[in-house]
Amino acid sequence: MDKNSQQNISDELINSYLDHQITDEERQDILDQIDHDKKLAQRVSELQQVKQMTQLAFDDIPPSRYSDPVEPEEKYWPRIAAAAVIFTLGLLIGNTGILQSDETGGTIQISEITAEEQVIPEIASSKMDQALTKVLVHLTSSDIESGLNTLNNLEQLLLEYEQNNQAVRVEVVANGKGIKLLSPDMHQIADRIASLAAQYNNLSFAACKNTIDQIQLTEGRLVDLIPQIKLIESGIVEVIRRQQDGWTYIRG
Amino acid sequence: MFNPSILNKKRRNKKLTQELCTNRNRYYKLAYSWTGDSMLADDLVQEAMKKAYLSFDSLQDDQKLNAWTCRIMVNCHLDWIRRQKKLVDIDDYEMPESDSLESAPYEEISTNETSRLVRKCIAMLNDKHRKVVTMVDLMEFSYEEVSQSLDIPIGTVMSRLCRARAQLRSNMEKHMPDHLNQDSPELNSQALKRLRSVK
Repeated sequence: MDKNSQQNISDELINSYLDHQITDEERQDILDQIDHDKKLAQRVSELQQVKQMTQLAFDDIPPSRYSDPVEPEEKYWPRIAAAAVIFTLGLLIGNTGILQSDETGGTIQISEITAEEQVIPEIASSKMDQALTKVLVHLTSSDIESGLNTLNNLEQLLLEYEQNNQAVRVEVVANGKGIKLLSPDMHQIADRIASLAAQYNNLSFAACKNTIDQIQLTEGRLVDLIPQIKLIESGIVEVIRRQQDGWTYIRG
Repeated sequence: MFNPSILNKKRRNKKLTQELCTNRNRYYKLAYSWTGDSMLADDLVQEAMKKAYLSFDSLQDDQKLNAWTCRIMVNCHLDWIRRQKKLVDIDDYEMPESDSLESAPYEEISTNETSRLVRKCIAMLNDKHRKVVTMVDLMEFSYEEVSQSLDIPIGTVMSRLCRARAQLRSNMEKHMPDHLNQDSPELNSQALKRLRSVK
């Protein structure tokens, strides 16, 4: 038995067994032979030990200098790219647009962004500026297509910043007719908001309580909002204060 | 106006980038096993991740990101070796001064003597054997993934792995015999149980 097994079970097959690269049938065959063949068991044991020691040998090597990657909420970003992306978003949304576009910027020189800085977050972290881009999106229309378009463009902006290791804070404020878009009845919008809110912790949605109170008074109906929406006292006051604080205003 | 294909591409790139970053430490461990130097390993990983990031469009199957990235890292490493040893056949490349335990290149900061000795035994392997064994054991690659990463047939992966482990065992028996479990030919029940635990 020992002699036959020695001939039948090659080292390549033993390795395949140890590396889980064989079928269940082949595995069972090897196990059966191990039970009856001490020399085979010895060969398997030796190779298993080599594998296990190799697996453990690099657990205590010097740490990588990138072993503590920057958490998303701690990321910083170059001002120039920030201003450029906001400008692009404004064009994409294409309504009344940017009322205050240069708070984060100064002179925009896209060519100053090197390829290296755009690659993996850790590459650029040491070169990052410490500016903060704050974007306020103002929803005043109840048009669903327009609302979906705004959310798509918002996601594009958030992705762009994330990929460039740039931090951005976006707040969507709805008042007037815009409140209607935040109702659970607007399934498409509600799903998109839920998805975006779950994905980005730097994105928030707010609804104007004054508008809601007014609807209840004038139309006699309660306004229901999707769970991701926080209530603020006045949408207009929020918009004004944000702009005073240097937020870039975009009408959605 | 809004272009869905651009957004899909960005979503894909974001997902792939996150996966690259998630696996960075594994790439680093692999690169360290090839170079024996933390700074060099970091540079190698950095270069490979950067090239991968800039070439996502050429990745045909997202499921193969790891093997594809490791293939890039293999090429980066070979380029580095070429720059270091322009006149040496790459197949003959060995880690610098790896002919003895005393002069093997891994940094001497490990507190685990057994790990340190195993790393030095691995350093004594030739480069193509070392790459196969480390991809299988550190990256837990299938033979097919190793085949893709090194652009060699699966049969070659198996034969190289076989020779690599045999050489590694021999190195261990020679240089660190006290650290090996020398199960006698009459294996005890515990050892047999361990063998059967391979699933």
